[in-house]
Amino acid sequence: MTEDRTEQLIRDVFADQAARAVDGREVLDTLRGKPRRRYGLVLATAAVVVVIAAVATFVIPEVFRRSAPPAADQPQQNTVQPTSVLVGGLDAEGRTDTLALAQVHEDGAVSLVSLPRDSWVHLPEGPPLRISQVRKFFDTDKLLDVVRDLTGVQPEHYAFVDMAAFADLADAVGGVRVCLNAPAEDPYAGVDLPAGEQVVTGDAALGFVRQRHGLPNGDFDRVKRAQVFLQGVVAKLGDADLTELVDAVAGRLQTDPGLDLLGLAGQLAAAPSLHVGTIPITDGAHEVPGAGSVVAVDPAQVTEYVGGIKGTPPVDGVPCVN
Amino acid sequence: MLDSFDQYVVDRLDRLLRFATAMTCDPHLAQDVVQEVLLRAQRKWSHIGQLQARDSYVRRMIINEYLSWRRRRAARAVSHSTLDALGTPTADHATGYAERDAMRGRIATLPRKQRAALVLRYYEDRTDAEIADLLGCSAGTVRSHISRALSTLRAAHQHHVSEAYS
Repeated sequence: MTEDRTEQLIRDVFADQAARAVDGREVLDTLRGKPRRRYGLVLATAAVVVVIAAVATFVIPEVFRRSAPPAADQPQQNTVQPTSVLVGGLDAEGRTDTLALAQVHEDGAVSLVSLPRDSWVHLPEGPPLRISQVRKFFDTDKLLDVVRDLTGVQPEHYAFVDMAAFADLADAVGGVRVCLNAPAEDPYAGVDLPAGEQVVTGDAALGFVRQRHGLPNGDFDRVKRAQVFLQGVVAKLGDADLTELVDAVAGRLQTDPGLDLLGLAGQLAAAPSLHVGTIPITDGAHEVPGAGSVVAVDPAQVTEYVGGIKGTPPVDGVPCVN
Repeated sequence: MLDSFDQYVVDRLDRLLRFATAMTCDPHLAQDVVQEVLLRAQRKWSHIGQLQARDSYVRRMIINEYLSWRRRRAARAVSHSTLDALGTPTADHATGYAERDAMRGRIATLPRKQRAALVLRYYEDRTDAEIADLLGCSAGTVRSHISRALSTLRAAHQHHVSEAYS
């Protein structure tokens, strides 16, 4: 049977489409590291927040000070201005792969509450969906509404950072000191590093953060690496070429026009304590027909938890990692 | 030493992703669909792994997952995600690119069952009987899905061509 032009076109189209399939590694990682995955995402969110906070806290005031010394008549901003900022890490497709609600409280304390990306959220209209998809399918405003309805806190501002920004940070600070428990080798991520303390730059730094294969605890270890990497970045900020550092993040940070990064930086720098947590979940592997496994959350519980986040203990420590 | 499920995934994952991507016209939706299905298959592997036709079984799961994937959302999401996805042309400077591009847009708006049937016929080269088995319907229904899809696409194609040359 000979095929007509339409049928040939159909074949071509399907062949083209099939060729666009994503690399299977992410699926493999998920299949192999499932039990730790959700916890890992929480840490990844914290890591993204650290980048934003580090840049906002250390870099921007420093640049500001150098380029434009504050005038004597400039009013001192010593009073705490409570605010809330929704922060997220964007994947290449614009999904919010990591998401957290940052709040500056009346007493100056800062809290960060992570919202797992698979949180199953309900919109006033239309079917429920994963929170990571809200911004992609709708827009940032809709995501802000969803977060308000879930947490009881209306985010006043937002800041989203491209996850790829991690890479250029290492070079901008002239290398990051990290410590490995064992040699790391992963051709996929382009990593070949010895055990022990060392300084990583460029591709090695990127590989250090990206490696997922061959890690004893999979994604959990990867996120741990991202954390110590960022702590390393923060430690090197003093030596950094600040212009380069700002460039590394500048084009990759999306904020609302009203967000005063300088003001926020001041608040963060002065914070007496930092409280980090994750919203309570009612079911970490909730099966939804047609959507698979999602994270079930109850807005009443979440609202109560977010209201009491300041009661949780702060975090510290920069260990050697796997 | 890989267990049976790991081995299956290593052998088949890329094919499954390509199949799902052709069907959904959206690499990331395809990834989500395949991932969800494999997570479920992993839990039931003691059963699925014993089957002679386990690959067909998994493909059926993928098709069903796609057909039921946020049914209501999908109808509206076409304007956002699918068209976004369609906006990324593959590198191809051959003549007829515009024609192919238009066809891609048309296929994306077909009803899902018709699209699934087309992918099985024109990407996987399956017979009517095999497609019927995978879609869980009769061979007659398969033929009707395909012929309706083809007539929609042919009509649109004629329209596109006549417009282009008028």
